[in-house]
Amino acid sequence: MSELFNNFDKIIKKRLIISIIIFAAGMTLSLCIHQYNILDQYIQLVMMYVGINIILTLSLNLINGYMGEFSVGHAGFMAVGAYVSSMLSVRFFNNDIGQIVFPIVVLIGGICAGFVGLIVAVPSFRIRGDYLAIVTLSFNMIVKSGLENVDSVGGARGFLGMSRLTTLPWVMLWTFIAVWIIRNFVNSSYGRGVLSIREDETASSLMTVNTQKIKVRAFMLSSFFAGIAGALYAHLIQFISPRSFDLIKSTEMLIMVYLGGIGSIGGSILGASVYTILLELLRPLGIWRMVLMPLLLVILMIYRPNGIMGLREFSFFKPAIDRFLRNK
Amino acid sequence: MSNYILNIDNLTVKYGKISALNGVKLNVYEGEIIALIGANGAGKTSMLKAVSGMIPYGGNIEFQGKTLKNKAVHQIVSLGITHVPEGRRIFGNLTVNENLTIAAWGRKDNSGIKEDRSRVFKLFPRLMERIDQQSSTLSGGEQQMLAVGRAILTGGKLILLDEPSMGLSPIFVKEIFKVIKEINNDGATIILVEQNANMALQIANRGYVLETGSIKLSGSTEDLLNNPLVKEAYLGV
Ligand SMILES: Nc1ncnc2c1ncn2[C@@H]1O[C@H](COP(=O)(O)OP(=O)(O)OP(=O)(O)O)[C@@H](O)[C@H]1O
Ligand SMILES: [Mg+2]
Repeated sequence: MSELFNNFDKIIKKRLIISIIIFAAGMTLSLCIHQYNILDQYIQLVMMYVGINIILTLSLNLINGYMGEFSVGHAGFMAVGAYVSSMLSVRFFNNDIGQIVFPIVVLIGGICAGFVGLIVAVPSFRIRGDYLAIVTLSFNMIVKSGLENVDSVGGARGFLGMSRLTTLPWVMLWTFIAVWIIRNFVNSSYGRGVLSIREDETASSLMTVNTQKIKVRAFMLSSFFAGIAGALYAHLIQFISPRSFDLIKSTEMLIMVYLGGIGSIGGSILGASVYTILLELLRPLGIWRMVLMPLLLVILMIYRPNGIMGLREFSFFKPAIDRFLRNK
Repeated sequence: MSNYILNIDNLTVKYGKISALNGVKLNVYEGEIIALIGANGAGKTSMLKAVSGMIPYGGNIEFQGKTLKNKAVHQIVSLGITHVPEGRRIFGNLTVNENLTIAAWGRKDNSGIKEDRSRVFKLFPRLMERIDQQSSTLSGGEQQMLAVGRAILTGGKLILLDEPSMGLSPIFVKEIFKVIKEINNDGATIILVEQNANMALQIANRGYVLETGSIKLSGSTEDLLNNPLVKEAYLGV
């Protein structure tokens, strides 16, 4: 028995070391690329898009994939993060301090989005079913038309003046944080509760799972990360407008989730990467891109209805105890 | 056998205009097995659902002297009432292991959980063999083992079992009933809803017969087994 537990310890230790190596390598590489401009500016930009989209996809996958609810307006939370952080940067830190407080500004953007998530979640989860879809849909539309009518944030013209503070290392760091936190969340006992809600909500409340509380908390975590992605996006493009966060943006997130596969961290990473890179590769096609992209999706849905990973996971993202049980 | 663990008083359940239970009274002593029998649609499932708070009801239900009215399902279950619902309702996309982990979701006593886990694997060695299998791929009988295993891990003092023998082969029914008796011997009080009246009355201490929403008969299992009405309607002799 003790031998088994030594094995278990070994798996955990090995995994920790691998995680640290990947993290260190990723950060060093991105810092070098950024510092010495090793890669073309355009390629760096695409890499940052990939990172931001991974964060968005993980965020939405937590709700639509792991929890089995259906949010269709996540761009609304992204908008909150983007606008809050941009306002802070432009109004209060439009000087040298801006660069130093940037991580805090992004964090505040995320936290505000998280709170807006709370406001959306509490009434939505009173009733199960399509309710969340309808609420998030209208939320997304309200945010967009609301922003269009507030002149102090530029109204429909949009808002600019942010410095380009989002760099490859920052995106890399936030992506690591998102993967790490969401991985730990879904594998925690809380996360098991999230999965059981997807499987059978009534049965899970019969196992003492406080489904209401879990749903609200998971939704807050999800909107927090959507807000983080929004803040990073705003300080990368240096221009945001209500149109950047419309239903098309929300649909893009849905595509990445279902392309990669629901309920999978590996799937989210793959889905976001494949989609983003493909979109860039197809750029020369101009307007035809918008024809080809849905077509590819249809083909994918026919041959891989569950997405690339669909409910499966790289063992690296699974809790060590599962591997331990399997290997013995 | 002196203390009541559950008191159901004047319980009424309505689904719109349909009345499923009208004024049911039922008391359960600590440590006993109660068999609840009745034809299809008699209201057995509705009664269990009312106890665990899954549906609204009139009248009163008390668990260990405290009313359960207006409590959420997860709160009622946390008090010590475990409900194995009709049709098992295991988490099909999750593994056996994950199902068992979630069953103990609200428990903090890690040593108790460990103990109950080994109890489950002792009762059902098959579950240990299939610990990492996706539970929707288990056979019907194995799924029933998992449902009962989950109930053990939830750790209630009172366990409500809704037709645990449904869809099982005769040998397996025996097996499940044996386990139910063992769980009872380990200290849990049990309400057993069954179509299989004969088997249920054999392991129970007392029984209730429900007919179109009302208690028609109740008494010790010997009395019920010898009652001509029960014999004719539920035992098929
Ligand atoms: N959600 C519902 N809506 C409307 N009527 C319902 C609902 N659930 C149950 N009923 C009705 O209430 C009555 C009692 O149902 P219940 O499920 O409690 O019966 P039961 O004794 O468990 O039957 P069975 O042995 O077939 O499982 C039935 O007539 C049923 O049609
Ligand atoms: Mg029933």
